[in-house]
Amino acid sequence: MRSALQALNKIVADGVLESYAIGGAIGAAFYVEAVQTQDIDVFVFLRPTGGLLTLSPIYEALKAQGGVIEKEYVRFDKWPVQILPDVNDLVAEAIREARAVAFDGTPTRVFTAEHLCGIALQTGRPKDYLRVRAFFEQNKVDREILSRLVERHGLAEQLRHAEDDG
Amino acid sequence: MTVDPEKLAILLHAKAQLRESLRQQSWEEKVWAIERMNEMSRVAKASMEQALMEEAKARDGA
Repeated sequence: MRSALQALNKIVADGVLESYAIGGAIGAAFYVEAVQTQDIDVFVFLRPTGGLLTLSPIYEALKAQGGVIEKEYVRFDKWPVQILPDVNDLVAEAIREARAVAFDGTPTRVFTAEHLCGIALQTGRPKDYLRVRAFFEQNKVDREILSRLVERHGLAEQLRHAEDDG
Repeated sequence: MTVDPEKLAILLHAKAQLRESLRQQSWEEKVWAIERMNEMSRVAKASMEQALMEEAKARDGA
């Protein structure tokens, strides 16, 4: 995973990306017990290129850093990386407020526990609710911060659903 | 079926300890564990496909 992070850091330094943050199962593994996943979800702010919003410049820049394009992924060593744009306010906030951390000595950014839960509630698949419950069970989320986030982004019903099934 | 409560308690304790040690892993250790799980799944899938192919071949040849 380190090579993927090094490539992402390089394209941030080169100005291709403003910033990025890791979400999904790999982001969640920063806080809670690991669950199997096939890819790394990397969230980015998407800038318009020639009036268009496209991921192509990012994929091309990652390819230049040694990544191999495979369908919607860029593979680095054992890890396919999926680049996901800031599709809504919650994701944009999550990228902005991500934590600066390190993976095996390489600096990177990972979503906060509360944003991981918020995005999981918004996505709303059974596995997303399981992820939220793992954060609750393992006491890895600040419930007050999550409540405010849920209120801001209109996710109260989804939170109730996660709590009811817990 | 009868269950020896003492053995069951030992098993449950061991399981709880394992879960706790998994939770205490660093991020790197968790990611490397996922890498190993993915590799094992890939090997198992390849060997299953190979076995099915050989079975089909044998069936066709019979």
